[in-house]
Amino acid sequence: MSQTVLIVEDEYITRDILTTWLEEAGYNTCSAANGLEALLEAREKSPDLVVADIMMPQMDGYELCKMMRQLSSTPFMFLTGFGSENHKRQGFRMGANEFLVKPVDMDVFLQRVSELLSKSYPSSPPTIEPFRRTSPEEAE
Amino acid sequence: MNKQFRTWTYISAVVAVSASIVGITATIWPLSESSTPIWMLLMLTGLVTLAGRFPIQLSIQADASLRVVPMFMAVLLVSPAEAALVGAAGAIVSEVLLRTPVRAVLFNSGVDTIATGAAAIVFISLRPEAAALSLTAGQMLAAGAAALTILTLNLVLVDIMAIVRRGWEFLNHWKFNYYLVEAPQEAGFLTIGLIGALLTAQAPWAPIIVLIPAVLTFFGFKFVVSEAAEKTRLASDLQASLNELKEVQAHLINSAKMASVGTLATGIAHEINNPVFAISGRADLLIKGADKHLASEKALEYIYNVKEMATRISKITTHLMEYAQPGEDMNEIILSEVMESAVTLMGKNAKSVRIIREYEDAPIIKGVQAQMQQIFLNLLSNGAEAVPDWGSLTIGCKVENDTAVAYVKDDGIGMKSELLERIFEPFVGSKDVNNRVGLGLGLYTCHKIVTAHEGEITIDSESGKGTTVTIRLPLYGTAIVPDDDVDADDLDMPMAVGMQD
Repeated sequence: MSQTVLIVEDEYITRDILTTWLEEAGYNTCSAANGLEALLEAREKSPDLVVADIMMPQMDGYELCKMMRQLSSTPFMFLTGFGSENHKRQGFRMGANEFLVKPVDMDVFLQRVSELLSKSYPSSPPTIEPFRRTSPEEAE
Repeated sequence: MNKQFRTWTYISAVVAVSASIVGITATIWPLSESSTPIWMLLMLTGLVTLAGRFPIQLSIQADASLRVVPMFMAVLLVSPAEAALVGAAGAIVSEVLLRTPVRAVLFNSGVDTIATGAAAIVFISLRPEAAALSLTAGQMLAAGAAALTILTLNLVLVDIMAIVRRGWEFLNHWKFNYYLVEAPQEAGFLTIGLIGALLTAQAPWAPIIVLIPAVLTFFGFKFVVSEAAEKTRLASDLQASLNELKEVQAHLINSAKMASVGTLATGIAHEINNPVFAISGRADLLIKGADKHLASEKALEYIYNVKEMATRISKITTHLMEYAQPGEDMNEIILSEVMESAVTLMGKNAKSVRIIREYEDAPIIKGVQAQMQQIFLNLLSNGAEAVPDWGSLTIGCKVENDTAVAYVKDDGIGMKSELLERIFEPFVGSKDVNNRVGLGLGLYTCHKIVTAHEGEITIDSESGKGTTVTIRLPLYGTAIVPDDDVDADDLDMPMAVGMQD
């Protein structure tokens, strides 16, 4: 059975592009236009991966990611127009597994999707540190 | 030859010349033959000391040599060698009392000795008879020549010192005004000296009667002069500080604009990244799935999408150019359009805010496009800071009598009245909410711009209830806006929503 990707994106065109890309690559998709819709959709469809924008009405991507983490360990990817280090750090702090910045190439996107889907993630809510804090001395 | 060496060489020369003058005059007019009473010499030396100890500065350029008064009295009353010694002794004692450096003590006493001694030689040589000082024409001419000698030697010897220490460039700074102040000032003192000498010649006690009011006048005058000098100094300091402050202020306003550009950059990058993604995503589909997609009926839709997204980006960049490279020209501007461009520029900044538009009219104003944009950007970003996520901002404009009125209203946290009173002052702000501290220059800048456009800006705000900023500008007409511009979809549309199903 093919895996399901939940696309959370408020812009129709972007949603449509992602849907087409993923479906042509052989995945099932479902979509939502904001975080709240995504939570309902996720409960119903139990997706294998969530791809979400950050800036969305009603519930933004950060909030969605945080809530998803409390419910499941489904891999979570941000795909957003915000490319700053602050946004990335915040995204990983919320528990995301991947942070891609638009515009992203179709092949790169699909590659990351396939990587995320092939890994297994712990079921407890992870708080993933984006940066290794180990100093070279400690590593030795 | 270094400065130190030149200075000391010159000082040594001056001291040597002064010593020779004393020696030569003492030989020609021996001190032993002098009939001058000792009290006269002591009085004159005392007066030179006093005048040297309490100089008077009538202007910033001219250091008044008050001591030429008693020095000139000595020239006219005693023998040349005695006059030179009076000048030397008075100068040394007063300089020591003033605790000036050794080189200044030596130089000043040298100058005084030369000026006094030389002037005394001139006077004694020129006066018609060797009688006591009197008011004959010949005596007065000789006194005039002696006065000119003191004046000239004083100026020349001091100016040479300036050249020795600062080099020949000093001559480039030679200012005629300087001598215009200094020469008459010293000439005035010499006249007082002449009067003092004449009085002393008539009766030894006569100068004392004149001296008492003169001393009182001197201290009163000195006080006024030093106060005036202090005020002049303070005023020039103040002017300098003011200029510096103006520079800092201009710099800060620019920084504030740059900071808001920085904040905007994130929002703008996001605004552009989204359509770019849509364009490249559609292109990817057409390129990588050419067989399937190019032939399908969807291909045309994809191409339209690309076109639409490109238009969206060009709109953003146009507004950005207007903002980033401002012209200073005053043009006719449609208020609602400039407000709309600020909304576009702000894009999906920090958070999502609903923008409610109430453009009743399309008033035309005259102004600098970029500055007007900056006003509304500042007001919109202030409003966005004040409201919670998905709070609303109302913007609108209308015509009221002969005035164009624009307003930005939020239902956010509002401002306290004490803050409101000072809100247009620089560095006053309320943005410490949400842990964001602004520079406090946003509203200050708005106020400056609006005032420069002959308009007025007012703020109504209540803590906890929200804030309305109203701007009134002179009206230059009303634009006719085509109906389709006022699209129902545009009204009450959250700005975060670009393309909806």
